[in-house]
Amino acid sequence: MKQRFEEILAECLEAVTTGQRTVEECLALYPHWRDRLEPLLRLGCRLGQAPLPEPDSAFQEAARERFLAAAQGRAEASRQPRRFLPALPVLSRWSWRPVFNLQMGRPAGWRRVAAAMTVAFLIGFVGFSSFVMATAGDSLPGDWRYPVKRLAERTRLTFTFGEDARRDYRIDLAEERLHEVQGLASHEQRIGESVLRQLVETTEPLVRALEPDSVPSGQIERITDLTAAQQDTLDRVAPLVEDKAVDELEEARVVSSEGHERAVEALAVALSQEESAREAAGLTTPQAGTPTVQPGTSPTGEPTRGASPTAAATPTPAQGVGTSASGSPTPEPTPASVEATPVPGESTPGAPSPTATPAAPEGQMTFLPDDTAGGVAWNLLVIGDFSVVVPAEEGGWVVSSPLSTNELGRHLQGLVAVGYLENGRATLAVIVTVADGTARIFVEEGGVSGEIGADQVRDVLSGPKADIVLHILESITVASH
Amino acid sequence: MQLTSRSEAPTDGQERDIVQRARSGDQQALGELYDLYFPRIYRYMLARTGNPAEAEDVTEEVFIKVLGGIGGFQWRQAPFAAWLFRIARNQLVSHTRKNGARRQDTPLADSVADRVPDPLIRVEDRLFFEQIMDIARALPQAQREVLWLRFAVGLSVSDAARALGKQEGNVKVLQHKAIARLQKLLAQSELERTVDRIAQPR
Repeated sequence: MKQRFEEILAECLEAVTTGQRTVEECLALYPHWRDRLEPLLRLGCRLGQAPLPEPDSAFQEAARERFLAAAQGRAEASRQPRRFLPALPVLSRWSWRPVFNLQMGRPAGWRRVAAAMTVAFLIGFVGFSSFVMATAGDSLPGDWRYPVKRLAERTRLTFTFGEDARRDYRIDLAEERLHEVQGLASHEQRIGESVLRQLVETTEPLVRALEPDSVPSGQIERITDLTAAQQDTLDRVAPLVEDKAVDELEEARVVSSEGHERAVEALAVALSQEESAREAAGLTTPQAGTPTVQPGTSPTGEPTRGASPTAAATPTPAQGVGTSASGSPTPEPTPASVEATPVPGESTPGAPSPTATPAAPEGQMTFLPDDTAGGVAWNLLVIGDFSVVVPAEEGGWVVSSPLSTNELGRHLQGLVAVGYLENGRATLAVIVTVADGTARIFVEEGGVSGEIGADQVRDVLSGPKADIVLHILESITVASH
Repeated sequence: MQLTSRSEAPTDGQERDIVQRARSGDQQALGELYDLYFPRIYRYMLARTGNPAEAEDVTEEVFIKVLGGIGGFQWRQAPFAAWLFRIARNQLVSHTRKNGARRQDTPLADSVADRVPDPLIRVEDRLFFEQIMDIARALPQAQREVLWLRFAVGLSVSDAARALGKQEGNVKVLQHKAIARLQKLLAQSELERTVDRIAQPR
């Protein structure tokens, strides 16, 4: 079976970082992937050698002492019976004596005895019923009061009205199922299929219905907590799970794990939406409640294409415009148009708001499938009335432009730069000013170090590089009005 | 203990022995586990929070959680590291929700670089590291998380997958995407530095 590239990369990284193979040995194993594999493998290896930040040693030592003291405290506490559920009533605490504390042995008339027994029965029945009702809520699966508890839950759910209230109660029920698992574990009872199935059955619908737009963040938080606690509990109780319930345990783990992931994501979205709403409320926006959309960004935060190039601004035939990257002769599947577009959707909830960075100018990068000048793939970069062709970013070529705001918080101001990097160092740079189309060429090669003119390109640079630089220069267009 | 050593992880057999003793409440074994994993959990927290003080706090909370759960830990379910990092991940979510993310007053690279022991690090490596820390902030969280678990913490792909609750295949894809994107961003960053140096607007 054909191995995917990410698997080859993972295998090689593991082999190199564990000292089983050298980078060269890995590359020799996959000659067809060499060009693509080598830079990523070398970067991955370097990452593995990067110096590591360390915690403050004084803090680590103090925290260690606290940790060991807590361990000591737990060890001492564990010598006493553990209780997971608060105030779980046990029969030994309940005195049966008052009910039967009738002086049966004393000789008396049968009517007196019968009356006494009736009273005792009534007192016993009322007391028993009250006891069952009062304590069923704490009962665990397998307990004779448990069906009463489940019946009471179903009744309450039936008479709970309103979507939010019902969801709230369903979360309560899912939490209760988790407490039951913990309770069984605390009594060192075996955990069977039905217990785990109920855990899944109460959790799954909650997770499935998780939508940041329709579920309040408070409830999403509760589900996040619940699923995190479920994962923790399922790990702890695994030894008590009956052999025949192994599949149910695995299913419960999957539901909890995936549910947690989904809940965390939903929570991030919900909190981000709330934050945006707060910011919008605090800012003097032209129209309250109207979402602000940055250029190049859809209302959902997804990147969108900028303005389409006009015919006047396009120096090459329109054949390449709009063509997908699937026709790229290179193995790298990422289209330049995507790489060059700002990616607001990738910012984390805690990242600075988009209003903190300058808005990206309107523009577009389009793959040109028929352009093979200098033996490389090309893209057409259009910014307003300006356009230029730039090589695809492979084989050492790298492009930076006002479109490629690279999330570092800084980008080129009105410049398009095309560089050639050798061993991570730029040895050639062509810098074009968007406003007037003027270009400058800098080289550090062949004994030359500094700026050169277009007429010196062929003298200083080797064949393909010279072809590429000249192709860039020839393509520059600035439409005049 | 050599704090910056990447060979700090014990062999599988050694770790099993330590965990087994820790499960039965052996104080020395608990201390050994703490020494082995505190820096690794801290690095993970630092990468996620960007705040050294917060990272220390959450790391301490994780170890308190470990005390409560280690008795039920089973090797057949997952390696210890994967189990521990799942607790760490859950604890971070819980901590962030309860306390909110603290404001980061200094750039991440600065605050992190302060914690890298100077004499052991070449200037070139330090600069590279700072640059990586800075650039990695631009990666999507899932990619950044995989990158840190793999290279700063030193988990294998399979352990990272267990820690993140993801399939191994997904982690491999995320790792590939993260490194490829990092490489592109590093190249762009180098080009922009070159442009800054040689061709400031005339």
